[in-house]
Amino acid sequence: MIYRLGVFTDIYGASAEMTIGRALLISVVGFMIVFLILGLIALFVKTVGAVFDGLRARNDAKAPQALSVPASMQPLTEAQKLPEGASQGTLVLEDVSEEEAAVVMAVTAHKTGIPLNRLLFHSIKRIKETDDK
Amino acid sequence: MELIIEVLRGIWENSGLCQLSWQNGVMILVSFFFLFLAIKKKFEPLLLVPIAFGILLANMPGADVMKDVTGGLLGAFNAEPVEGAMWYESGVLRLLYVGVKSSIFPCLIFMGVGAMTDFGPLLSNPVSLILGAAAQLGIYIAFIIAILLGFEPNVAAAIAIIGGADGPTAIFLASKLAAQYLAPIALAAYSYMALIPIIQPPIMKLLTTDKERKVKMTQLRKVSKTEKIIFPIVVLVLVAFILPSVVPLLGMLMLGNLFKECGVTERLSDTAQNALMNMVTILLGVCVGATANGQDFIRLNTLKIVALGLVAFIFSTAGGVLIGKILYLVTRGKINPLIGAAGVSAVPMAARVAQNEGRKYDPTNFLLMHAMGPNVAGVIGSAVAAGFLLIMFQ
Repeated sequence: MIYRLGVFTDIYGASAEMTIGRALLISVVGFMIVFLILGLIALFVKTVGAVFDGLRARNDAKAPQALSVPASMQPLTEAQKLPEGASQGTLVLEDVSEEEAAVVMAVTAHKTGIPLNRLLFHSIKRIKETDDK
Repeated sequence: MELIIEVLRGIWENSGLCQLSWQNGVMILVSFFFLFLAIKKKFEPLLLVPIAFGILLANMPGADVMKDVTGGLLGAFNAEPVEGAMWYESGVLRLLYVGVKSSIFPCLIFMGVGAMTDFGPLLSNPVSLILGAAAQLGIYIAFIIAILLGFEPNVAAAIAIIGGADGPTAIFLASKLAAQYLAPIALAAYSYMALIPIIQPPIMKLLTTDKERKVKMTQLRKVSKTEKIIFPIVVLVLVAFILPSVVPLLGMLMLGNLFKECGVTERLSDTAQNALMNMVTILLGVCVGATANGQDFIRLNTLKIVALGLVAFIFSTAGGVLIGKILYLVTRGKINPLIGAAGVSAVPMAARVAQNEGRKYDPTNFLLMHAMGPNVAGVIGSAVAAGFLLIMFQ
């Protein structure tokens, strides 16, 4: 069958047939063009991102250190860090990470409307899921 | 008595029941099934309800909602012109269908999509674009198979774009390259988009290891507002210089996104992503559904298109995941290959699937924002692929 189609006809001529070889070639070229264009966009995004990050870092360096970070917000030293699985105070964590415990406590405070500093948690334990419900 | 019988016969002969063909009957049942999927199973209900109802309306015998009295000027095939009839005497859905035929509706939908899209995750992780490109693999695999099945090149290209998992792009390309197959292509595209949570997970599981699926990705870098404003403008200019044919779709996508990001057009952004988007979705859905007339739709080629659409979806997912695996190796385990599957551009469903799959293997893993990058990159990728096919075969 003869087709009269865009660039395909320009390349192969008006009487060209679509063979499997040509279909394969068009597919490979098409896929490469998608990669090329999106790759160019990625390069542009990366460059612009680097420029903006650089500007931000320069502005941060120029800005006066107006506020000193309170001791409670300073990162912990190695000596201050708790051993794996342990927790501060009397709160016992059973099969729960500190991050998960923090989320549970925050959710509890939010749902009950009681500020966190007025709540006392004794333990947080993961409930094992079972099939027999 | 004889008069009564004549009247009754006249009523019967003009009734829908008398004019009902088996093809219309089948399509009416199909519309019921789609309505069930949309309402009961909640599969893309915002799209599937209007599409299913459009199918129902188009197959109501004698209703002629898609009648074209102009002899084809309004997009109907094999339509005989009605002597003395004016164009506005065509069926009501045929008149609305001009919005599909002229690509107005897909372009307006893209503007709404742009206004709803946050390119932030993509800007903070540009490698997402590579995953978005990889997930277009299915388009080209489906194209080759469609040629093998005997479809003409322009029709094969229109069918293949289903692999982009992008409804408006599929309609845009099909209306330009193979308008006679618009209904099955659009229906296949939207149906498979709705079925992404079923289609993708087995492929993702098959192609990834347990260790890869558990990769936790690092926090994304903060993107400035200026970057978000520059992005749509520069991308449009860059792509248009290489593939001008993609400008109608990509231009509207980026215009909608600029409304959202520039900070001085809140009202326009709100209209584009809500009121306008909803209106055009209704019109587009009903009109696309209405093209599925039983006599034209129930053909062997429709089955082939549906099958090819599935193949395209599978290979697109696989392409994204496989490049994700390569990036996992290159970055020494910093990229979770599951987010590659989100490179198919069904936003945000494919990203949600990546998130859910990741959480199955590690409940504390949150991949959603990481998967949104390839997901929105996929929208650009499928538009670029459509632009290439348009240049080749229009």
